[in-house]
Amino acid sequence: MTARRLLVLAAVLVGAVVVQSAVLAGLRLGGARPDLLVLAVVAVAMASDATTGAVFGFVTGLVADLLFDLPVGVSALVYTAAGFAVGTVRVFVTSHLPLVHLVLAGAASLASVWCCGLLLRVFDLSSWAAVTRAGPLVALCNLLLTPFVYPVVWALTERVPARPASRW
Amino acid sequence: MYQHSRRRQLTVLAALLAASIVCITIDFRQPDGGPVDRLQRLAIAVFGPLQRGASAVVRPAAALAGEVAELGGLRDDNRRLEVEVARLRAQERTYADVLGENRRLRGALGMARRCGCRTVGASVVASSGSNFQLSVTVDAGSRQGVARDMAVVDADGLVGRVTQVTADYAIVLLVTDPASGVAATLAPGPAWGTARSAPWSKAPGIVRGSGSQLLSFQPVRAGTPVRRGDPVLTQAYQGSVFPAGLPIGVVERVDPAGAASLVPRVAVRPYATLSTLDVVAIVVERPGQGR
Repeated sequence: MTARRLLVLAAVLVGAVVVQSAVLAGLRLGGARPDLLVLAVVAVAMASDATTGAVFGFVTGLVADLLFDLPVGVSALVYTAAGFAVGTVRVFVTSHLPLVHLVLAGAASLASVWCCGLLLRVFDLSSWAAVTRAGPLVALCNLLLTPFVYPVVWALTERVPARPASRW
Repeated sequence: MYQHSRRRQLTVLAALLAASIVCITIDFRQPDGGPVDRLQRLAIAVFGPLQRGASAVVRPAAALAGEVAELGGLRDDNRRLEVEVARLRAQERTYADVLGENRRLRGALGMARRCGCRTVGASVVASSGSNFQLSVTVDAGSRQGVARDMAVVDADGLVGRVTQVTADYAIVLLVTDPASGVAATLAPGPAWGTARSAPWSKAPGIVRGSGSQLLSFQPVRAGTPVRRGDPVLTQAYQGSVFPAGLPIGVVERVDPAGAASLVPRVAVRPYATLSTLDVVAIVVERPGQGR
């Protein structure tokens, strides 16, 4: 991991958090708002590997918990798992069809929203109705956002390779 | 080689998952000012200015976006004039926005003055990005005298309670969040005719958020009669967070007590417009609390 790559990932994180809280938080589509942070985690994991996906997911989740006043660690736990899972599955996704990537992003969003909701329900901080309703709505919103988020993250991470080219 | 890197990946995953669980445990067990608490204040202090900048940019841009979208199909020679009109309209809207903000801030301050409280005005800089947490970040903090558990109002009624404070920012948990509970009392509404014909003078209860737009009021006494249109106010008790008499909302629906519940289920519509909050007042000193 080079310093420049670390900087790029930090920029993705800060950008996603600011856009999520200042722009997307104002949106309400059927009572749910898109979850840009899951998308960022999925995109980074797709563009790198399982370890990077897990670490990026953990840091993103931690920042989200702290800023959005959730029990600290809940989003971190879920996003770590999401980043790792996507980074692992990525090896088996050889297709360049946009549909495949959309389905992956949608499924990851649905799973992580439901897992977050489930954890918060366990802590009695949410209701079953809110949890079940939020999942599909957030996944749908995220599907609409994916075409905008993916290319940006890909372009940024492609430009800066994971490790410096070595010659022998 | 593959085996080796696989094992490393799994070790990283296990370490991160364990770290998350440790964080959750610490967060639930720490006292005020614990390590996670300090970390949270740091995060708000770092991201607060960024969020404020972003929302300052977004508010006029969102208004302008609607205008520009309508211009798409017009001819080139008209376009310049249309853009000029859009710019002027946006400018006009900014003025209207500032005027409205001023009016709402005055309203919010007036609301708190009615109960004899000292307040601090603040703007909302960000909403919680989470789908499960209904809170907002405002740009007033301990430097302005804000502390945890203070009541927050807007021009129409109670907004919520301060849950986290940094030097310049504070997080406000909205009354609609499922974790929010407020001691409340029913006041006799127009349905009872004159106030004297109501069978009670005060009906204590608790107002809880449900995650949706409506709140639920749970009366303490089983036989409390409730009618549509009854106002719900905050109730003060020994050691309570909120000053008494702040308007919370109005009873919108009553499902009478039955087999499922001993007390009637009462849905309350909050007076405050929580979906489009922009300016609020924080009650920093309750009457009789003066130094």
